[in-house]
Amino acid sequence: MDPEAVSVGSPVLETRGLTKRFGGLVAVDNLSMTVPRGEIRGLIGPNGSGKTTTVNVLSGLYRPDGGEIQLCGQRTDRLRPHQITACGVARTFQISKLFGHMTVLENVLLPALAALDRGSERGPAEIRARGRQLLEFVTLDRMRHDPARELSGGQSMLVQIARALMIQPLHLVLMDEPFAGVHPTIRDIIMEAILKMNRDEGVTFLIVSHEMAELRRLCQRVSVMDEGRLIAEGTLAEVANDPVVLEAYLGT
Amino acid sequence: MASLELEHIAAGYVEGIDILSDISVRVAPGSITGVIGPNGAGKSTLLRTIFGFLHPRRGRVTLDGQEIHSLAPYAIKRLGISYVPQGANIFPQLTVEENLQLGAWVIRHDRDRVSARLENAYEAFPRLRERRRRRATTLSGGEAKMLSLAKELVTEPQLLLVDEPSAGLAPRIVEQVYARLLAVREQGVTILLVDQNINKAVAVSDYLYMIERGEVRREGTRREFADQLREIVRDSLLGA
Amino acid sequence: MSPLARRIGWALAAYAALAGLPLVVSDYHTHVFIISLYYVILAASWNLLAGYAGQFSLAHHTFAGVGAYTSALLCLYARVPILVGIAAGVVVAGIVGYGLGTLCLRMRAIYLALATWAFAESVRLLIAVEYPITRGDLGLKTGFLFGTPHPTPYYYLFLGLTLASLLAIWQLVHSRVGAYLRAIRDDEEAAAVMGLDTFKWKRVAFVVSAAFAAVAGGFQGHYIGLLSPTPMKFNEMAIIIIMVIAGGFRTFSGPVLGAVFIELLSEELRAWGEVRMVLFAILVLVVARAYPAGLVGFCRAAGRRLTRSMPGLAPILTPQRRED
Repeated sequence: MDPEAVSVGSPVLETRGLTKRFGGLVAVDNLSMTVPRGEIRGLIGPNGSGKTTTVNVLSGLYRPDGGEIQLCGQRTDRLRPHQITACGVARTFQISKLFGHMTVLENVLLPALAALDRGSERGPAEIRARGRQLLEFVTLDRMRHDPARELSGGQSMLVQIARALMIQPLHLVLMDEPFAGVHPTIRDIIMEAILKMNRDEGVTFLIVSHEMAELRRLCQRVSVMDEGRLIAEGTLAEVANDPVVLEAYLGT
Repeated sequence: MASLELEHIAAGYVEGIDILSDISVRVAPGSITGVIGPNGAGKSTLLRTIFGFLHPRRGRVTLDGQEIHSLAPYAIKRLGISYVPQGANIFPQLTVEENLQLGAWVIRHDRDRVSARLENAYEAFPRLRERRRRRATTLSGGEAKMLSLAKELVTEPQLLLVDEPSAGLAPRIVEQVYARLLAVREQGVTILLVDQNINKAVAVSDYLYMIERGEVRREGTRREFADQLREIVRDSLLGA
Repeated sequence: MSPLARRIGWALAAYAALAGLPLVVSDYHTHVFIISLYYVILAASWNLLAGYAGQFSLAHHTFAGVGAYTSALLCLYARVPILVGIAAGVVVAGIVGYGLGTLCLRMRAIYLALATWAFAESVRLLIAVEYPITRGDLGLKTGFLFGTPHPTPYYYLFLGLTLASLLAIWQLVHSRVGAYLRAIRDDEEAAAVMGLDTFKWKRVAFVVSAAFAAVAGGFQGHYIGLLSPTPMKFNEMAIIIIMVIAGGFRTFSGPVLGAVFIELLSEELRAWGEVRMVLFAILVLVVARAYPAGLVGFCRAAGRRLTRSMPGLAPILTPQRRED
């Protein structure tokens, strides 16, 4: 598994016929989607449309029932989460999933430590320096020795982001509702971080959100899901004028 | 028939973050008033603030002119407001009858009244009568939702707050739930409902409010809303 | 001096400090201290698995028994030297731990607890039932490691074993692997998504803790001189849990304090018989409800109070926050 096997032209994320069922409910229904390298893609849709389930399947927390996933040029639908991470995929969660009893800095360093057992060559000093740089990036360096469970919701999200950005190589970041319940100032920091990583390091993003104002500033394109299916794709202006999309949001 | 008014309400769960920043809503007596808006706009928070689970940081809530925003939920229930949360808010290990009796908790001392109310509930929901001694876990999704509703109607409220009546239910059941709400309105109960399903909310409400990011963006009659449904959704998507 | 060298120094100093004990107390009390040290190893290694890694196994006492019986049986039937037998016991416990871990560690907490408990009971019954080989409840005689049942040499042995074990566990907990285990305990999904093979590291913790238990059990077997399936009853597991919780769950010194405290208390109240378990159960309830920090928390609070009245003692009594 060569983590650098992403050629410039190939898409970073590609799904074909991806399906996930929970008992009788089809949460993700035959989803086929492609995200090219370097794009910031939004994933939107009314409640219960399967957005979070899709992200969970992509990051390996759920096994798909059908279809295939290619991440960074590799088939990943049968891989476990840590193997998908090794391909260069990071993710953040809607709720705070930090390691509560560890400090902020320990949280951020963990992915790099885990990579040491996979043959990564970053030394401890380099890892620490990178960790502090990322915390500085999200303006939380001064809190690096605080226990993670003492952080507010918005601060937790920033640390989740710094922790996700620690992953190397980093080709794709999956974000699930990064703005939900987050203070406006912190939202701006999050947006700046996303734009900077995208611009300077070419990192691709897939962001699930309903905060349209933020998505408008961030995303080149959005994919719209409804009841597990992909119903539209395009710029936010295009999908906002698509009658199928409007119907989905109106409900039946 | 009750009337409810919210004036410039601001509320939130976490210090410094307002989920609702300036909400003014009037629920006319005997009407069905609908509140629509995207996820995270504050719809559920609105109902919770009215019912006393959350106290507003600014503004007033009045029921027939009486201020209620600093009362606890049980006191608000005693005033005749019932709250039907999302999903099926029932006690799964208790029987249907026991669930209804719990719904009548605030009037439990008056045995006759309680039996009369239970009888009314069974009249209105015959399926529940059939299953009165069965455990609530044995009910189907739709029946559970009906029990949830019946439980809150047992106290014969003057104002019913309904949170997302269609969430997670099959379309056929959704129809039944809304038909039931209309029937309840016919009996003189004022209803304030909150819904993501815009079509349904517009079909059933006399007056509607659309909130987004904690503020009222639009309000109007059913007619006014029905004519501009697509524009409303599009504007919301575009963040206009 | 590297941190490791410093810690070894502390361990040696502790050894020297406690070495005088058999000279000042009776043989009976020396014996009680040996038993306490045995439990310290068991408690600390269970805390490694349950407290630090978050895997609530109920088969820890079983691995001690596996270590003891493997060694005893090999010595008896294959006539191997005792130390070889004990080493073999550790290897067998490690292998069994690997197998059990592979089967159970994908399960959620309550199922892991049930599965390990079922395993523990199965092993105990197997040993009892196979009495032609194991002498079952009649008791299996083992050879004394030092050729004598006299406690003094065993005290020095167990003191060394305990300090070495604690040092090893400390090193592990503060290493990269320790960080992995703590991350897995705090949020296994997030750990997986951050690149940790959570299953592998949980199994490592499982095998390592089983090995420590087997070391303690193996040496204990060749001190007591008689093995039976009785210490493999759930009672033993309960005592280990009580020791860790009373001492302070998820702390390093908690199991140490708890093991010594509970064992000494248990011996003092020997006359109470089975009622002791009731007392301990109540103690655990009280600790869990009112003072979750356990004995360690109590000592820390006392330390803080002392510091306030005698500020000069502050650097010794209060832990410093790490700055870098």
